[in-house]
Amino acid sequence: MTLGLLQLLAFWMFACGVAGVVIRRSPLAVFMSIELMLNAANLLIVLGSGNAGMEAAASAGLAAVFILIALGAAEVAVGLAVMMAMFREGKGASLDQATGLKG
Amino acid sequence: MLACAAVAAAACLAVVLSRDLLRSALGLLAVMLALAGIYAGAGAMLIAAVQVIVGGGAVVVLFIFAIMVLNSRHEDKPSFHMGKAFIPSAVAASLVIFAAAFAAAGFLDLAPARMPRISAVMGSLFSGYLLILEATGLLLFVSLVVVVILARKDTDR
Repeated sequence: MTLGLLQLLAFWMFACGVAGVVIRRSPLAVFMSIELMLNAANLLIVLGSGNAGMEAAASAGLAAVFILIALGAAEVAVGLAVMMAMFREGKGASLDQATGLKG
Repeated sequence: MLACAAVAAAACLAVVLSRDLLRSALGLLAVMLALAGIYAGAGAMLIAAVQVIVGGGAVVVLFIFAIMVLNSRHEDKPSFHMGKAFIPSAVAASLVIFAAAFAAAGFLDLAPARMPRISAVMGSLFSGYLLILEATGLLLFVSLVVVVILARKDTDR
Protein backbone atom coordinates (compact mmCIF):
# COMPACT_ATOMS: atom_id res chain seq x y z
CA MET A 1 0.00 0.00 0.00
CA THR A 2 2.79 2.38 0.90
CA LEU A 3 4.48 1.81 -2.42
CA GLY A 4 1.31 2.57 -4.34
CA LEU A 5 0.83 5.77 -2.36
CA LEU A 6 4.41 6.85 -3.02
CA GLN A 7 3.96 6.23 -6.73
CA LEU A 8 0.79 8.28 -6.55
CA LEU A 9 2.85 11.03 -4.89
CA ALA A 10 5.31 10.93 -7.81
CA PHE A 11 2.47 11.32 -10.32
CA TRP A 12 1.00 14.14 -8.24
CA MET A 13 4.36 15.96 -8.10
CA PHE A 14 4.78 15.62 -11.84
CA ALA A 15 1.27 16.91 -12.48
CA CYS A 16 1.91 19.88 -10.15
CA GLY A 17 5.10 20.60 -12.09
CA VAL A 18 3.28 20.51 -15.44
CA ALA A 19 0.58 22.83 -14.10
CA GLY A 20 3.21 25.20 -12.69
CA VAL A 21 5.09 25.40 -16.00
CA VAL A 22 1.86 26.28 -17.77
CA ILE A 23 0.22 28.76 -15.40
CA ARG A 24 3.16 30.64 -13.83
CA ARG A 25 4.64 33.71 -15.49
CA SER A 26 7.83 34.29 -13.58
CA PRO A 27 10.72 32.28 -15.09
CA LEU A 28 11.94 31.48 -11.58
CA ALA A 29 8.62 29.84 -10.70
CA VAL A 30 8.67 27.90 -13.97
CA PHE A 31 12.14 26.65 -13.08
CA MET A 32 10.95 25.50 -9.66
CA SER A 33 8.13 23.57 -11.34
CA ILE A 34 10.63 21.89 -13.67
CA GLU A 35 12.62 20.92 -10.57
CA LEU A 36 9.44 19.34 -9.15
CA MET A 37 9.04 17.20 -12.28
CA LEU A 38 12.69 16.10 -12.09
CA ASN A 39 12.26 15.07 -8.46
CA ALA A 40 9.09 13.14 -9.30
CA ALA A 41 11.05 11.12 -11.87
CA ASN A 42 13.83 10.53 -9.33
CA LEU A 43 11.30 9.27 -6.78
CA LEU A 44 9.88 6.78 -9.29
CA ILE A 45 13.36 5.49 -10.17
CA VAL A 46 14.24 5.00 -6.48
CA LEU A 47 10.97 3.15 -5.83
CA GLY A 48 11.57 0.99 -8.90
CA SER A 49 15.10 0.13 -7.83
CA GLY A 50 13.80 -1.04 -4.45
CA ASN A 51 11.67 -3.58 -6.28
CA ALA A 52 14.12 -4.56 -8.98
CA GLY A 53 14.87 -7.93 -7.38
CA MET A 54 18.45 -8.28 -8.57
CA GLU A 55 20.97 -6.23 -6.63
CA ALA A 56 22.88 -5.28 -9.79
CA ALA A 57 19.80 -3.72 -11.36
CA ALA A 58 18.84 -1.97 -8.11
CA SER A 59 22.27 -0.44 -7.61
CA ALA A 60 22.30 0.66 -11.26
CA GLY A 61 19.03 2.46 -10.64
CA LEU A 62 20.36 4.25 -7.57
CA ALA A 63 23.54 5.18 -9.48
CA ALA A 64 21.31 6.69 -12.19
CA VAL A 65 19.49 8.77 -9.55
CA PHE A 66 22.86 9.91 -8.18
CA ILE A 67 23.84 11.19 -11.64
CA LEU A 68 20.39 12.71 -12.27
CA ILE A 69 20.63 14.81 -9.09
CA ALA A 70 23.99 16.16 -10.28
CA LEU A 71 22.48 16.93 -13.70
CA GLY A 72 19.59 18.75 -12.01
CA ALA A 73 22.02 20.95 -10.10
CA ALA A 74 23.91 21.80 -13.31
CA GLU A 75 20.62 22.61 -15.05
CA VAL A 76 19.56 24.98 -12.28
CA ALA A 77 22.92 26.78 -12.34
CA VAL A 78 22.83 27.36 -16.11
CA GLY A 79 19.14 28.28 -16.07
CA LEU A 80 19.55 30.87 -13.35
CA ALA A 81 22.48 32.42 -15.23
CA VAL A 82 20.29 32.69 -18.35
CA MET A 83 17.60 34.28 -16.18
CA MET A 84 20.07 36.84 -14.85
CA ALA A 85 20.96 37.78 -18.41
CA MET A 86 17.24 38.10 -19.22
CA PHE A 87 16.63 40.33 -16.20
CA ARG A 88 19.57 42.52 -17.18
CA GLU A 89 17.88 43.19 -20.52
CA GLY A 90 14.65 43.99 -18.70
CA LYS A 91 12.77 41.01 -20.07
CA GLY A 92 12.86 38.71 -17.12
CA ALA A 93 9.88 39.72 -15.03
CA SER A 94 7.43 37.75 -17.15
CA LEU A 95 7.93 34.98 -19.66
CA ASP A 96 5.42 36.69 -21.98
CA GLN A 97 8.08 39.32 -22.73
CA ALA A 98 10.77 36.82 -23.63
CA THR A 99 9.80 36.21 -27.21
CA GLY A 100 13.05 36.34 -29.15
CA LEU A 101 16.14 34.17 -29.33
CA LYS A 102 18.42 36.79 -30.91
CA GLY A 103 21.98 36.94 -29.61
CA MET B 1 7.32 7.82 5.50
CA LEU B 2 3.63 8.54 4.91
CA ALA B 3 3.96 11.79 6.88
CA CYS B 4 6.84 12.78 4.57
CA ALA B 5 4.66 11.93 1.56
CA ALA B 6 1.83 14.12 2.89
CA VAL B 7 4.24 17.00 3.49
CA ALA B 8 5.65 16.64 -0.02
CA ALA B 9 2.19 16.57 -1.60
CA ALA B 10 1.12 19.71 0.26
CA ALA B 11 4.38 21.53 -0.41
CA CYS B 12 4.01 20.82 -4.15
CA LEU B 13 0.80 22.82 -4.10
CA ALA B 14 2.57 25.63 -2.25
CA VAL B 15 5.31 25.72 -4.90
CA VAL B 16 2.83 25.97 -7.75
CA LEU B 17 0.12 28.18 -6.26
CA SER B 18 2.00 30.74 -4.12
CA ARG B 19 2.34 34.15 -5.71
CA ASP B 20 5.29 34.94 -3.45
CA LEU B 21 8.38 33.43 -5.07
CA LEU B 22 10.21 33.14 -1.76
CA ARG B 23 7.37 30.99 -0.44
CA SER B 24 7.57 28.88 -3.58
CA ALA B 25 11.29 28.36 -2.93
CA LEU B 26 10.64 27.38 0.69
CA GLY B 27 7.95 24.97 -0.52
CA LEU B 28 10.53 23.47 -2.85
CA LEU B 29 12.87 23.09 0.14
CA ALA B 30 10.09 21.25 2.02
CA VAL B 31 9.55 18.98 -0.99
CA MET B 32 13.27 18.18 -1.19
CA LEU B 33 13.58 17.40 2.54
CA ALA B 34 10.40 15.31 2.57
CA LEU B 35 11.70 13.36 -0.43
CA ALA B 36 14.97 12.79 1.44
CA GLY B 37 12.89 11.42 4.33
CA ILE B 38 11.07 9.08 1.95
CA TYR B 39 14.37 7.87 0.46
CA ALA B 40 15.78 7.25 3.95
CA GLY B 41 12.62 5.40 4.94
CA ALA B 42 12.88 3.23 1.84
CA GLY B 43 16.47 2.36 2.76
CA ALA B 44 18.32 4.39 0.10
CA MET B 45 20.53 6.25 2.58
CA LEU B 46 23.04 7.44 -0.01
CA ILE B 47 20.37 9.05 -2.17
CA ALA B 48 18.76 10.61 0.92
CA ALA B 49 22.07 12.24 1.89
CA VAL B 50 22.72 13.47 -1.65
CA GLN B 51 19.18 14.82 -1.85
CA VAL B 52 19.64 16.85 1.35
CA ILE B 53 23.05 18.17 0.31
CA VAL B 54 22.38 18.93 -3.36
CA GLY B 55 18.61 19.35 -3.49
CA GLY B 56 17.95 21.02 -0.17
CA GLY B 57 21.31 22.74 -0.01
CA ALA B 58 22.64 23.80 -3.38
CA VAL B 59 19.52 24.06 -5.55
CA VAL B 60 17.19 25.85 -3.13
CA VAL B 61 19.93 28.18 -1.92
CA LEU B 62 20.63 29.04 -5.57
CA PHE B 63 16.94 29.80 -6.11
CA ILE B 64 16.73 32.02 -3.02
CA PHE B 65 19.96 33.74 -4.05
CA ALA B 66 18.50 34.44 -7.50
CA ILE B 67 15.26 35.79 -6.00
CA MET B 68 17.24 38.11 -3.73
CA VAL B 69 19.67 39.30 -6.43
CA LEU B 70 17.00 39.87 -9.05
CA ASN B 71 14.70 41.47 -6.45
CA SER B 72 11.68 39.81 -8.04
CA ARG B 73 9.83 38.36 -5.12
CA HIS B 74 6.32 38.95 -6.41
CA GLU B 75 4.84 38.23 -9.78
CA ASP B 76 3.44 41.42 -11.23
CA LYS B 77 0.18 40.06 -12.66
CA PRO B 78 -2.32 37.41 -11.65
CA SER B 79 -0.77 34.23 -12.86
CA PHE B 80 -3.84 32.08 -13.46
CA HIS B 81 -6.15 32.52 -16.44
CA MET B 82 -8.86 29.92 -16.55
CA GLY B 83 -9.32 29.99 -20.30
CA LYS B 84 -5.66 29.61 -21.19
CA ALA B 85 -4.86 27.07 -18.52
CA PHE B 86 -7.90 24.85 -18.91
CA ILE B 87 -6.55 22.23 -21.31
CA PRO B 88 -3.15 21.76 -19.59
CA SER B 89 -4.85 21.64 -16.19
CA ALA B 90 -7.25 19.02 -17.51
CA VAL B 91 -4.29 16.99 -18.80
CA ALA B 92 -2.52 17.24 -15.44
CA ALA B 93 -5.68 16.32 -13.54
CA SER B 94 -6.30 13.33 -15.77
CA LEU B 95 -2.71 12.22 -15.12
CA VAL B 96 -3.42 12.27 -11.37
CA ILE B 97 -6.75 10.46 -11.77
CA PHE B 98 -5.11 7.85 -14.00
CA ALA B 99 -2.37 7.29 -11.42
CA ALA B 100 -4.93 7.06 -8.62
CA ALA B 101 -6.89 4.43 -10.51
CA PHE B 102 -3.66 2.58 -11.21
CA ALA B 103 -2.63 2.63 -7.56
CA ALA B 104 -6.11 1.71 -6.35
CA ALA B 105 -6.12 -1.33 -8.61
CA GLY B 106 -2.99 -2.51 -6.81
CA PHE B 107 -1.29 -2.62 -10.18
CA LEU B 108 1.80 -0.79 -8.95
CA ASP B 109 1.86 -2.42 -5.55
CA LEU B 110 4.85 -4.73 -5.56
CA ALA B 111 6.90 -6.49 -2.91
CA PRO B 112 8.39 -4.41 -0.06
CA ALA B 113 11.47 -2.51 -1.10
CA ARG B 114 14.94 -3.97 -0.68
CA MET B 115 17.62 -1.41 -1.39
CA PRO B 116 21.19 -2.36 -2.30
CA ARG B 117 24.10 -1.50 -0.04
CA ILE B 118 26.01 1.74 -0.67
CA SER B 119 29.09 -0.25 -1.66
CA ALA B 120 27.06 -1.98 -4.39
CA VAL B 121 25.79 1.37 -5.70
CA MET B 122 29.30 2.81 -5.74
CA GLY B 123 30.57 -0.39 -7.35
CA SER B 124 28.22 0.00 -10.29
CA LEU B 125 28.91 3.75 -10.44
CA PHE B 126 32.66 3.23 -10.69
CA SER B 127 32.64 0.18 -12.97
CA GLY B 128 29.81 -0.05 -15.49
CA TYR B 129 28.84 3.61 -15.31
CA LEU B 130 32.33 5.06 -15.04
CA LEU B 131 32.19 6.78 -18.42
CA ILE B 132 28.83 8.37 -17.58
CA LEU B 133 30.17 9.49 -14.20
CA GLU B 134 33.17 11.16 -15.86
CA ALA B 135 30.90 12.73 -18.48
CA THR B 136 28.78 14.15 -15.65
CA GLY B 137 31.88 15.67 -14.09
CA LEU B 138 32.81 17.19 -17.44
CA LEU B 139 29.27 18.53 -17.81
CA LEU B 140 29.43 20.17 -14.37
CA PHE B 141 32.72 21.81 -15.30
CA VAL B 142 31.41 23.05 -18.66
CA SER B 143 28.25 24.41 -17.02
CA LEU B 144 30.46 26.28 -14.53
CA VAL B 145 32.28 27.95 -17.42
CA VAL B 146 29.01 28.72 -19.21
CA VAL B 147 27.54 30.29 -16.07
CA VAL B 148 30.57 32.55 -15.65
CA ILE B 149 30.32 33.67 -19.29
CA LEU B 150 26.56 34.25 -19.10
CA ALA B 151 26.66 36.14 -15.81
CA ARG B 152 29.28 38.67 -16.94
CA LYS B 153 28.18 42.17 -17.74
CA ASP B 154 28.12 43.20 -21.38
CA THR B 155 30.92 45.69 -20.86
CA ASP B 156 33.33 42.90 -19.92
CA ARG B 157 32.91 41.04 -23.18
